[in-house]
Amino acid sequence: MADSVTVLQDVGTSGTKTLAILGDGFAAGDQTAYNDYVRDQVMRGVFLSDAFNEDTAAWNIRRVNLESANSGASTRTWNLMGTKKDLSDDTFTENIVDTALDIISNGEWWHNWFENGANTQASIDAALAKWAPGADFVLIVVNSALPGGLRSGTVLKVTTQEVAAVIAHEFGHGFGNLADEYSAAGKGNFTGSEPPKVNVTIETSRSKVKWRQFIAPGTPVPTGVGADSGYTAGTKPAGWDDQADAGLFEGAHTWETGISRPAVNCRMRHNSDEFCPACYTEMKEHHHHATGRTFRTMVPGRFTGIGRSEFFGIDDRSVGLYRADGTHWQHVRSTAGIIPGGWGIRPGDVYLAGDFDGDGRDELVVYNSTWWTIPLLGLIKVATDGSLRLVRRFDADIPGWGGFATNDRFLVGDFDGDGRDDLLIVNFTDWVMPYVATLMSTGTSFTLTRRYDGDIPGWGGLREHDEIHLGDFAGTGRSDLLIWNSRDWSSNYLGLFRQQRGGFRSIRMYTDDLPGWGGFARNDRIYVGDFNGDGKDDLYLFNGPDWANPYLGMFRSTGSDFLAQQLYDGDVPGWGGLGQHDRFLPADLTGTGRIGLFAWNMVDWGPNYAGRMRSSGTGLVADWREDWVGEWHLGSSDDFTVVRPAARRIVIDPGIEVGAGAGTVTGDVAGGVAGRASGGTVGIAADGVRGTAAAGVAVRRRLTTPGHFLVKAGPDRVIAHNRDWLGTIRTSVPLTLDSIYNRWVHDYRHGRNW
Amino acid sequence: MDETERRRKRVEEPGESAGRRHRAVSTGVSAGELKGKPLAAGERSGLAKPPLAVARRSAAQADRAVSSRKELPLPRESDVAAAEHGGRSLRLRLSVEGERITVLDAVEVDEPASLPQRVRGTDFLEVRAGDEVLALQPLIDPGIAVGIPDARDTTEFLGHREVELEAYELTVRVPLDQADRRGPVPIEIAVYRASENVVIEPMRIGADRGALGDRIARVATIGGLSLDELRGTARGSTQRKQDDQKGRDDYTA
Repeated sequence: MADSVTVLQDVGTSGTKTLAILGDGFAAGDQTAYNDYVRDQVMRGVFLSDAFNEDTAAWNIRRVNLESANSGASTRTWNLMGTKKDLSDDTFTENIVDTALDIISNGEWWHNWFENGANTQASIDAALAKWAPGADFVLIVVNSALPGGLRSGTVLKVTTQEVAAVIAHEFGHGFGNLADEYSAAGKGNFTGSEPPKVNVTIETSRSKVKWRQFIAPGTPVPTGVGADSGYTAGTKPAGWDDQADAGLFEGAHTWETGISRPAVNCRMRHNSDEFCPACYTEMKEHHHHATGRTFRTMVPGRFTGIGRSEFFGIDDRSVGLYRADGTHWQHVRSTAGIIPGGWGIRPGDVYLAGDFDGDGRDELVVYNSTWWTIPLLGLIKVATDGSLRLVRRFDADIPGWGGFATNDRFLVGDFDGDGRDDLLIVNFTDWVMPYVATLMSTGTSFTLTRRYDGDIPGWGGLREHDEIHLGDFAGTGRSDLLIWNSRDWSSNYLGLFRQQRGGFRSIRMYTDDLPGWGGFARNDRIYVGDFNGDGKDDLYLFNGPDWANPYLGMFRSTGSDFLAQQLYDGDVPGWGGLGQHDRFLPADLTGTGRIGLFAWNMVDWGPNYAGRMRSSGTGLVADWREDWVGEWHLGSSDDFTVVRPAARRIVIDPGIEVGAGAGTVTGDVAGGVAGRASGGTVGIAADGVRGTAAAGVAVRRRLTTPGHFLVKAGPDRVIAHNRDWLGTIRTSVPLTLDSIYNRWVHDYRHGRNW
Repeated sequence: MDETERRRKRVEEPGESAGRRHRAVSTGVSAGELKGKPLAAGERSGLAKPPLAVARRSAAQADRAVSSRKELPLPRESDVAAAEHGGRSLRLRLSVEGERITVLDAVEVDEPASLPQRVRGTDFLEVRAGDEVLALQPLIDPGIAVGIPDARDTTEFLGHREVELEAYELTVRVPLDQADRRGPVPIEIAVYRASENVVIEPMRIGADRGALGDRIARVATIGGLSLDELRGTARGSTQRKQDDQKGRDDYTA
């Protein structure tokens, strides 16, 4: 076996860092053991843990396999002659063998654990120059039965006896320039000047402590006094967390007294802990830019459990899963570079969430038409721990489509009502005519069932500016198409299409107007949402610029038609005047099951506005905030995303069909069971909710398992986000801010990172 | 169009119920009615997709089931993607001994090097050509070898063992395209040490360093380096033992 390099994680070269892992003392037959060590202790043990995983996207990771002639590194055994501190009289015996890097493992603390052979430095340099010339940090794994670890600057050597916790601690030094927070026996009192490292200090007054922003006002300072102290300032407050709560604890930087650390426990004190607030923040500051993480793109869903409200943050080289924790968010897991199975996370990836296997939990579909020489479409499963795995990939085409192209776009909906979400693929620009097709999910793949070349029956010709919206307008659990075109014809058209007998058929076609709207116009915008909570999606129509006043209309779905419910001319009560550039996001603002509008305008007025338009079922009532929602400063770079609340799986007697009209499920009677509500019985929910506790709003009327559907409790969450900031806005009351994060999501016990 | 000239919709008062009261308003038609005239004669160019049956057969290889045992290989990256990886750099291996920096070797590598937005820490390595910073990177515990604690020693926990080194090595990558643009300007390499943890933005390093005053000091340096000479070294035999390099005065300030 020749020497080789394996790229374990590729996050690109733009501002990122590179970790090179080298092995010494691994013969050809040991390479699997070396690979396993790297996988278990580094990739899993370190880069799946807390701060390292959050910022894993900062690192390219290259595993260099160097074949040694001998199995096992050279060893040297020192005799300390009973005088440990006097090295001059030490003698040794040794077993020098031929290995790739000639490193000698001695297993002796007093001799730095390792010694170099004559060619060690040159061999390391040569290996790096050849296999990892961009290395910013080097980890050398030495195949030895002896313990040992030694770091010189950005080169860390460990033997195979050392585990992930040791490496993580040493990475805390090497990546984050952190000091130790433990005390060594007999080290005594520190008498030096203030050390430059961020997590140790000789200061004892609160105002001068480097990490004072993380110390709660009620926490005594000093918090722990005496040699290698714990919490000595009285009784710990209720809820105190030895690792997450900051104070000032004597004993640090290997000294017993005279210098202090931020927390009782930390990875820099005990290898197995997570970082304390000061160390965590410093690690994040060191890596944030290299991760390329922003809060610009969010894909919401329920990925790891039905009862969870989550979103993926999407970046050019990584995706990170976040989960609602009360009014806050917590990081679950980040995946960088590659998704196991064979998907490279790259710029241009477009992610969509949907329950493609009908189990109540969402999967991801991803499409990239620009990064590779051929476009790729992938289906990704999300495990309950947040890990990802590609289960299907289509390279350049899906049978029947005739070739993926740059401007292929995808929409998610359940077109056949089988409880599994499907895809609609559309391309209006890359071919001589527009194409649309349905890709029906099998749970683990997609099958193209119908392709529409240039037209969908009843539409009269697809055109470049056709705009397709999906909605369950009949309340059957099936997704219909609503197609809008105001640019390609002499008239404006709105068409409603439903899948029947395997293909879409036109249900209704509106030319130049929808009754009660007063005439379609070029800049009409369509928003889909069930504003009256009857289980059928309805329409909001808005036009800002085309008329003397902006108009907002509410149109109720009858299943096959839309009836005017309300038209607002220039204003919605409480909004203070519709503006040309008002923007909207349909959302269940109050948890009633009636979809209202989250509204904002950053253009038309001096101040910026965001507000809510709550639906009563027949009308809207608005309120708003000017410039600020709590600490969130509204701005033109803000975007807003609706994250659905947690849901519950409800089990109805499978013999009862859940039909049109399904809406609110209350108590032990499924009100959504058309005409047979009294016969419906609510069984034991899969997540343990039983009987009357299973109350909420039906959000998914059918899963693949008969009788199973989802109800949600509580309002949607609206998250505000831009490049560096993420905020959670509560909409059940006039807009208030529940939580706010800058650059990374972390709930400090006290203080924050800005 | 002036906003005052815009028509108002002929509907009822704001917030009140709207109805089908305008005769001109379409009430919707049943399926199948054809549209009016397209605004532009559809002079679209491009290919048509193959017929459905052909498209099904020809794409049979596109469907890639994923095995739990083997990763699907990724296709080649497009030219757009390849452009992102562009850039070569000169990887310099340095030895620092006291106030003296020695260039041990230089290797041209297919790895770009770019200035970070900001660096933080207490020790820094800077490469500059004239007044332009080519590289700036933090140094972690330069000149110190740190052994891990001895977990076997249950009687006396000694912690890390730190040993100060007489000389230590560093590597740094200099972006070649940026250096080339500067022309034949002598290159200077320096190690700085701050008395506290500081944040420096390379693009405004002069101001940052000025603001830090005597809290940051240059501790080792080498100047007067020629990029051409370094590259010449890189093109020749680039791997030399450290000992061979000591005393190479032509690379030493």
